[in-house]
Amino acid sequence: MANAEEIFEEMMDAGQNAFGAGWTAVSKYAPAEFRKMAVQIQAIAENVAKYQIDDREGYSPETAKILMKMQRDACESVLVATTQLTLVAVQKAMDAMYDVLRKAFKGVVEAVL
Amino acid sequence: MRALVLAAALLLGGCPWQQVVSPYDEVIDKGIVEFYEEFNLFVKDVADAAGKPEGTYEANTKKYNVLDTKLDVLILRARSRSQGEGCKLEAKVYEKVAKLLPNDLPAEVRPEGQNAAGDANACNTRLLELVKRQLNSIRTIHSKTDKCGPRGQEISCLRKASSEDALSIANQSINAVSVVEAAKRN
Repeated sequence: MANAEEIFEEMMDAGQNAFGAGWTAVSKYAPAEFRKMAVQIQAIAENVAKYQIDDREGYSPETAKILMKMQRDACESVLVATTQLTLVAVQKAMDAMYDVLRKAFKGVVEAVL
Repeated sequence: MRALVLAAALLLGGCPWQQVVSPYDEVIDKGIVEFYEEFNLFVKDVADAAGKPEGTYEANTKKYNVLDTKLDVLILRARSRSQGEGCKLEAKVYEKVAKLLPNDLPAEVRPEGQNAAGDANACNTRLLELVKRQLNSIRTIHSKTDKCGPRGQEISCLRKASSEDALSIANQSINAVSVVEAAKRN
């Protein structure tokens, strides 16, 4: 049977591996989405400017106002998703560690209970 | 060692392993992909028809209602699993963003005490509600603020420029639902 130190090391490895994969998802997702927002806000300003020169081009300030509200909602979506992705990573780490514990102590626990 | 075995016994037998996120939901995962396809196709078609009778809001209200109902079904499913605690941002994320956007952050996402993440199922609901808000915003642009046609004979429409920007923004909210479900699945 494995000793506590070995089990601890195995748990840490399992957790780190699971969390590592999860964190990669967060670190790829969030910056890319925030970059899109910056580009989008610039596009809104450009389209209003076009409309003010020729009202057949771009769109009105009233439309721009709604698009800005949409961008605020999209920002909330990205923040909630980022939190959720982090929690998914935590969950996977916890599950991986639990799995190690379960395997290591299965026989003993069955005897105790 | 005996203490460790007893602790493990308690952990494995006595207390349930805490779930910090809602479980993967295939219905929401597939549902949001189908919504994405249908919604994107619709907005592009409507923008192509801007200035024509078939591109007016009045000619397309039925399709908006179909899309809205599809989202309602997904929201209802997510909400049925929620315990009504609300979706909160993780405290550190909230702190950083609150500094950047002091007046723009919705109060409902503020973390309270140690229960930073709130109800995990409520976050799924919130993500879907945000997609619904995006659809309603496009509906408002189409019905009220965008106009096409000669002066004095303007009709409601979704301009090409508006549709492209609105789609790009709305897809961020749709993508957020999809990315979270995909992370749970993998």
